[in-house]
Formats: sequence, C-alpha cells, structure tokens
Amino acid sequence: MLRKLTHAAARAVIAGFVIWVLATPLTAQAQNLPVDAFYGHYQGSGIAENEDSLYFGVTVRDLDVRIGPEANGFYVEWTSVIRGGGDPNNPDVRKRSARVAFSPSERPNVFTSKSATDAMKGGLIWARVLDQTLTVNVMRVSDNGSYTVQTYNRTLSGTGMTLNFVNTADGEPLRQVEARLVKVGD
Amino acid sequence: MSMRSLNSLLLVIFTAASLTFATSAVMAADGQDKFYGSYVGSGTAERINENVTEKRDLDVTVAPFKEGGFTVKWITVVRGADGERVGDDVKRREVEENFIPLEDKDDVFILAPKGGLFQKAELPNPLRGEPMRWATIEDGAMTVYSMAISANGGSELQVYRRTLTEKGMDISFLRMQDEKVELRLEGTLVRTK
Repeated sequence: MLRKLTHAAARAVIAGFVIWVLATPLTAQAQNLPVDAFYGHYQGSGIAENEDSLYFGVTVRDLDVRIGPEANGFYVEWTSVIRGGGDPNNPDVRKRSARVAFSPSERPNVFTSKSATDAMKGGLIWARVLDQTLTVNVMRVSDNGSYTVQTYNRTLSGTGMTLNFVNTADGEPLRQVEARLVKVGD
Repeated sequence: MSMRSLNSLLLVIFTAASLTFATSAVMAADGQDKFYGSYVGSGTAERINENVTEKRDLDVTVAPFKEGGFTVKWITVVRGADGERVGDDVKRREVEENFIPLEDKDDVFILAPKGGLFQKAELPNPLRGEPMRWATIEDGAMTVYSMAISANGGSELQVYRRTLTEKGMDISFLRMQDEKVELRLEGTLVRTK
C-alpha cells in the first residue's frame, strides 16, 4: 500500500515537473517583444509559390529588409529582387521596393501608417507585434470592390528572421513566400 | 457670347448632367433590383479548425433602400447536434444591413450611416475597432465584405457572396482570421417571393 502511494506521489511529481518544463518556454514566448528588438538590416532569399507552382515552377526572391526608429515609431523598408518566369535560360529580373513609417496606435503593440489610412482610397496599412513576430498588413479595395491583403510576418530567429508573406484576394491565397534572412547590420 | 447662346449652353449642360445622373441611377438600380425578393434554403458549414461540419438553414431577403441602395436581411439557424431545429443547442442569428452607393466607385456600396439625415456616409475605421463593411454587385453576384481589426492587431475578414440562379440563389461564405480560413459555407436557396 505504502509502495503504491510512493509510486503515485513520484508519478505526480514527475508529471508536475514535465508540465512545468513544457509550460515555461510557452510563457516566455507569449510575451510580445518591444518593436526595437526588430531594428536592424537583414538579407536573405526565399521562394514564392502559388497554386500554379506545380506546373510553372517557383520564383526565387532576394530580400533586403531594414527596420529602424523614426519619429515616435519605426520604419520598415524592404526590397525584393525577383528572378523567375520568362525564358528559363534568361529569367526575368524585377525589383520592388517599399518604405512605410509607423506610429503607435491607441492599442498596445498595434501601429498605424499615416500614409495609408483608408482601404478604399490608397490602401490601409497597419503593423502589430505578437510574440516574436512583426506583422505588416497592406489592404486595398479595388475599383470593383474586391480586396487584396498582403501580409508580411517577420519572426525573429537566432541569426536573423524568417519571413512568411501571404497575398490573399477575396479570401483565397494567391501567393506565398517563405524566406530566411540573416541580420547583417544594426 | 450672347445671352441666347449662354442659355443654350446652360440647357445642354443641364440636360447632359440630368441624363448622366438618370443613367447612373438606372444602372445602379438595374444591378441590384434583380436580387429583390425572399429566398430560403440550407447550406453546409465547415468549421475548419475544429473539423466540424454542420447544417444551417438560411433565409435571405433583399429589398430596395433609399438613395439607390438596398437592404439585405439574413437569418441563419444552426441546427442542433441531432440535426433538428428544436433543441436547446439550436442557434439563431439575424442580421439586417442597409447599403448605399459609394460616390466614386460604380456598383460598390457602403453601410448606410445610422445617424441623422445629414451625416455623411463614411467608412468606419477598423483601426479604432469599427468593422468595415461594404458590398459589390457584379456579374449576377452580390458580395458583402466585412473587415475588422482586433485589439491585438489581428484581422478578421468575411466574404459573403450571393449569386443568382434560375431557381433562386447560391451562397458561399468564408471567414478568415489572420489569413487562415476558419469557416466555409456553401448553400442553395430558392426564391419564394
């Protein structure tokens, strides 16, 4: 009887320890990072896929991201060099750049862009920090009323950040990019 | 320019403006009046995260609203676990919304303001927690969109599309939370009025 009780107590202690070990990193992860934790210069590459990728292949993107302080908020500047499509021996190369400044909103960890505040006219851009991820959303409503949302999830990792980009239109994902970037400067 | 010429010019301008206004009003009405009526039917909803499929009864009414707009009223009944409509776990949701044309986009409508007569129709600001809703009519389909930003900056998007058919209306609905689809619904309704 005593042995059974001892075994039961030991199992309870071990179970409690396992729960504590599992719960501890979750608690730590649940804290939202301050936005200045993302400041830096990052470079890397990734691949873009859409629903036709199985037939038409993927495109490769070289990515350059800078995040830094601006006024009472921060800015995000990103450049993509897209290689793919066209002649396989001489693929098309396109370059896209954007820079958006964000200010704190009335809500904690949510930031607004003064340059794009209306989804119907010019677009609505906002950012948020959740856990270790800085998300930038760009939403636009076209002239015919349909909408697109481009979502850039940038998650800090040991050597830099991972980027998950999703472009959705009318609720359906059109394109997705997964990329890994290394921090090359502050 | 003589007074007679000026009068003629003003008459031409006035006539042209009247025709333009009348044409656009007719075009707007022509788009939505095909939807006016009542529809009943059912659909199947899939709650993707929970891997749950449930039957829903659907009731839709579309009617004219002031200023060339329209009213959409819809009732959704989520049947109970036993598939019946009488148990305690039956849920009923009723929504009625008025849409008016948006000034600078053809066939795009926004929620009519609920304030006084002279309140300007402005889209709500999702960043202040106000859901933004708008509607379009294109190719025999009326689509109502909803977009909200939660307190932690996450997005919730809904697309509710009603497409006219020979017997009534097909419905497709989806709800997305942070670019992931959480709920899909497909339904078929017949016109009753």
